[in-house]
Amino acid sequence: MSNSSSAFVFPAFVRDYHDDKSPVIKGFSNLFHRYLILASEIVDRDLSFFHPENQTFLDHELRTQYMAFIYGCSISEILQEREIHPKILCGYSMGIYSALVHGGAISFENGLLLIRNAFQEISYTTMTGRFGMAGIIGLTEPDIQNILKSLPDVEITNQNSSFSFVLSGRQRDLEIALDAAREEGAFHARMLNVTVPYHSHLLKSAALQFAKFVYTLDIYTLKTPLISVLNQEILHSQEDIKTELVENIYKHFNWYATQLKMLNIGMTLFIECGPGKSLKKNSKFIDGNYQFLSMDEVLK
Amino acid sequence: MAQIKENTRDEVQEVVYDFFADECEVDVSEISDQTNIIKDLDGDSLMFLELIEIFKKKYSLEIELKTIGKYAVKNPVETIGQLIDMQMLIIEHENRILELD
Repeated sequence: MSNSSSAFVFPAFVRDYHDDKSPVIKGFSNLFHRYLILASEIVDRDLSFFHPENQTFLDHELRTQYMAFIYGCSISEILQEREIHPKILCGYSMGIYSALVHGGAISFENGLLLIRNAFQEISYTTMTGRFGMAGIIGLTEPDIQNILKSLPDVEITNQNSSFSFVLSGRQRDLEIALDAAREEGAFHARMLNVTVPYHSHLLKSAALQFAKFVYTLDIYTLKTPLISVLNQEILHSQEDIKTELVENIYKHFNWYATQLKMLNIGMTLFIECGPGKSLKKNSKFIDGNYQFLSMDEVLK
Repeated sequence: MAQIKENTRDEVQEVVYDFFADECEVDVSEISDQTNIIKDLDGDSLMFLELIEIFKKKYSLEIELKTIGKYAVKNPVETIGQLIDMQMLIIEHENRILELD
């Protein structure tokens, strides 16, 4: 497969394994299991008990991140074995960790440790309150900003398309924002299944603690560049990566702008390196001459 | 405002049936006006929005999404048939759809 214009995109969380066709991908199950055992030895013994039919596994916020990471790394290896190589890498939110493993910037082990450390620092910072994230579909950004005027601890932390947004903040204020969004005509206004306000200014102190850990790790120059979802810059260097890892915790990102930038620099094929098709589904609202494929479509 | 013709409902029905068959990976023969979008097809709000965008382009409609959202809150849609009925009202009334309530 040509590598001249393809982007590998790595999702952040696992939302549902029902939609996942990965078991039909030749070699996936064995590799995935091997990574699962390795991860269980490094960060969490219970990972070895994972089974796709066990959806209760998805209720554990940190484990869903581990699973998305392990999945992404397994798929990454299969793609490399089949000599399918990207021109650029991209991690949706916490999907950055598996993107960095694919690009050779960090090891599998350090990826897991980064996820664990970030989650621990964030948990310490948010233990005194109730926080979360929410999705609003069907309103414009000015509509939502208008709702948020009186809610300083809620902010738009990601834009998925021209009318799809993610908010982070205090749970009570998020619920007020969602009620107002429904009244304003939102099609969809719901809390997400997380208890952490990722990408919010509320996590700045956690990010600064996380930075201390980031700077202790071996991080290498990327073999394949990574596009920042925070500012859409193309990243290569160790210093760029360290900065991105830290800022990714508390700064807003913009998936819509990131996909548009990738289209503008000539990407015509996007491959979603995770279970499910959430990024592929979202791409239907982004105009352009390109293909967006899920894993089973690439490797069947 | 789009002109409703004799065959507009058939056109809308065909687009809706084909859309859900494709999105939900089911045979079009399995879809009827009584099919429940969420329970039977595992549909979601993104699919609904995608369909609205298709009709906005097809019939050059001038309507804000939030206007449809406000209408849908008062007139919830559960089945394919209800969705087609709502789509017909959107085509016929566009931004004035809220005046129907």
